[in-house]
Amino acid sequence: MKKAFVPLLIVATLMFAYAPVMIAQAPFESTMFLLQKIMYFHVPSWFAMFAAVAISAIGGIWYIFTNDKRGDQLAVAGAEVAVMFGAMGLTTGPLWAYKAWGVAWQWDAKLTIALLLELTFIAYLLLRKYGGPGSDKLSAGVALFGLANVPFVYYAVQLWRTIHPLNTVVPSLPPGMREPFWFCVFGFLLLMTLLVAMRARLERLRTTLDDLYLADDES
Amino acid sequence: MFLKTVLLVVKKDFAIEVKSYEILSTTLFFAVTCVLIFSFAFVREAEPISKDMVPSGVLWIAVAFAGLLAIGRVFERERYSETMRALLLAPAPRPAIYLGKLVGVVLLLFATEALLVPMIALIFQAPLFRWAVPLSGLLVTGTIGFATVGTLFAAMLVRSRARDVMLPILLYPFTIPVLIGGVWGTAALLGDEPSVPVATMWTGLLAAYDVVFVTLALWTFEPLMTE
Amino acid sequence: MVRRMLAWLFVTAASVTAVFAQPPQEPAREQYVPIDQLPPSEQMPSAPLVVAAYSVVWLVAMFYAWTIWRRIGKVEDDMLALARKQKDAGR
Repeated sequence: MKKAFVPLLIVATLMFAYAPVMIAQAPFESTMFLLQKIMYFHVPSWFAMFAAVAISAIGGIWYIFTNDKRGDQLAVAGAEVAVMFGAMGLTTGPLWAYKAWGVAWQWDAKLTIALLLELTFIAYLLLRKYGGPGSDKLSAGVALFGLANVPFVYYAVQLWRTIHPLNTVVPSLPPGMREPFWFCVFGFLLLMTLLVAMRARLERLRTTLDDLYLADDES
Repeated sequence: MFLKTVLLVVKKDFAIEVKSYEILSTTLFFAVTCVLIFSFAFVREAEPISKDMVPSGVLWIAVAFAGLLAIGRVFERERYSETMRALLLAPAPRPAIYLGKLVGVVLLLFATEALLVPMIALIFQAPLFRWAVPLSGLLVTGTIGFATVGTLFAAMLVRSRARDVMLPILLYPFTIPVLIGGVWGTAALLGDEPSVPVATMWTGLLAAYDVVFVTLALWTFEPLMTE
Repeated sequence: MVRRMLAWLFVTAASVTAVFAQPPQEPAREQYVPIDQLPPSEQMPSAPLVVAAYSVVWLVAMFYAWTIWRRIGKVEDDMLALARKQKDAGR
């Protein structure tokens, strides 16, 4: 990872620089015209968030059952990156909905889950920051429970009418829209991986520093 | 002199708060979760709900607030007398300790609800007793779901700093499905056209939630409580 | 410090969106129904929204990467300081 980091960072930067060109060339959607172009950044940011949430939960499980610090570092990194991508999705979404639906927010299944996942992981970060000793284990539990909570919320909110486009929209994208879309998804996932790696490195350095301080105190 | 003291106290509080923003960020977060809870209890399809559905929202919000208080106090008592540490040191299976605490909390909440339901029925003149069996099904499954997550988090927070503010912050986002299920299940019984099948469907959802989270809690309690 | 700034950024962004979102201009559309002809007046106001959405993503990503980079720098400084202190003590 260390060796590949700089080249991958360059690739990610280039992808993000080229993405607007591809998006500008993509065909206009028949009802929303220019507005629909928000999709190329909105949907990939949610893809990236869910990937980061999965990383955090896996890291959490790894940490709870093996007591391996690396799992915890991965879990923290995943949680923070997930909150960041969630913030992106939660700002681009209402900007789109404001014009397309006429209202910025709806209590619909997808929107509610998104908000709830974002809140769960903000709670995770608050717990890490203010929880004090023992909060690393508890936060791993929070990540795991947060993931388990998703299907229940989804099912529970299904009774509210859904106006968010369904997931089946994605595979049915017409050619011309499909390429820039998957290009953006790939770019976001790459960015997510790089950020998680950076954040995990920070956490690793902090652990090393704490150990050094401890060793210094003892000597 | 008086004003000077006032000013000094304010200044001191702000100086501390600005260093970490602990109180501001946690209360702000709690406020947002409260918005969420009240939205689910009293709003449907961006419209305020009809008058006869108000009691169900009030009932479940009361259960959520009372449950939070009960769970917090039960573990605070353990912490004062250091009995939690003793329990965990004892050569007993950890899941059994968890289950014991959970049953205690649930029974406490049942006792509260036994008084709460007649009171709400009286104040709002809601026909809560017309459908006593489906309603108690909802209350039992909902209370267990609420207490499952709450007991696990509270047990883990016993050692932690800021446990009194962390518990609601962690608990409310996780119990949103319980709240939705409880409120809409009860509302289905109270409307102009009461529907028992709808209430049963919500009870089913709550029961599934209970099963999943009790299993998860029993599975993770042991490794989570090991230091 | 950095987290605080992140939090503020998030809160400000959310409030700004909320303020802008206040008066709904048109009734809510339930699904996107294909409409072949839309008045050109409908097309223009979406440009600022698209620009805003893209710039939010860019700014948030860059700001976040910068905060991580800064925090790593701070930890590395602390490590260097500690190493220097130990070296001085060893002499």
